[in-house]
Amino acid sequence: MTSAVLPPDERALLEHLRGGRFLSGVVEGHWRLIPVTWPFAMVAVSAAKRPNSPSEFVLRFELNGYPHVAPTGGLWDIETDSSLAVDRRPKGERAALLFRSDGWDGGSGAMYAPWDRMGLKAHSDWAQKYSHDAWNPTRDLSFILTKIYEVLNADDYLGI
Amino acid sequence: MDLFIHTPGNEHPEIINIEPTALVRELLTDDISGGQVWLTEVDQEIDLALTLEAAGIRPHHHVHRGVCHKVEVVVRFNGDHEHTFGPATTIKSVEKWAFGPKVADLSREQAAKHVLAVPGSDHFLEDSVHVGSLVKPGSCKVVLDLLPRSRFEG
Repeated sequence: MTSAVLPPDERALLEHLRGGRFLSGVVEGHWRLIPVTWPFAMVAVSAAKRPNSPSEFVLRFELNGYPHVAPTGGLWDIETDSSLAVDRRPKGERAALLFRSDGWDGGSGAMYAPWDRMGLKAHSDWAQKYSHDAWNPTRDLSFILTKIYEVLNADDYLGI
Repeated sequence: MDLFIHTPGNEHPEIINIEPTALVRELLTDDISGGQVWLTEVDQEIDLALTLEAAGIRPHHHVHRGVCHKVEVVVRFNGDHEHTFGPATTIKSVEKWAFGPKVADLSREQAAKHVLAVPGSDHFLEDSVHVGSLVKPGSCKVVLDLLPRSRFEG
């Protein structure tokens, strides 16, 4: 399939992935792209060193309607091609809140955050209440990746 | 080679491909007359007559182009606090000053819960943004708010 016949959401994503903001993160070692299988994209985000913990976590995003519709995404196990098991998820005050595993309606496939479609769907006030962090169509995937990278490299990230 | 180039008016870098033998002045665009070029986090501008390789610019380096040799930063937190930075100074470095004893005097734990933002903007500033990218045409001054990071609840 050539870029001329790609749907606009996929085309917008590929354009963002070729941009300086995303590629700068790749060069800095903050994240790396695992090939896109539309409408899904997987990105491995680096995490600070912690004992017995991985150096990165894979996020699997569903991107239909991007960027007009907010992405949704969660931690993914590429070996089993399924959501990452609870005992292998990042711990810490903010990491545990972002990647909730306590039965939240968004489930294991979404982030508890206003940049995630499921987070916004569950909280109609978040777009306004947390406007600095909320998704809007001017954002791109690097906006979310930067947030995740910050959480996984903060002092309060405890590993798995 | 590929370079990341930062420009006033755009918080995030563009990626450009340019020969190492090109002159530094070729990084300037027509709308930046009288402009200069800096390496990220370096206050001294680069000699425009040098080639990129002679200037020590290597693949994937971040460079800044603009007309402000210095940027006056005002951080609003319990009053106004002013300091002057080079245009290629990152927000991460500005935060070290703003969160430090001369301004907010935050503990490490408190600092992790705060961010900088341009007043009226819809996002917090990322660590990698060059302060010189935030200036408006005709000005070399930037006002920033020091704000608490959001904790999502509800």
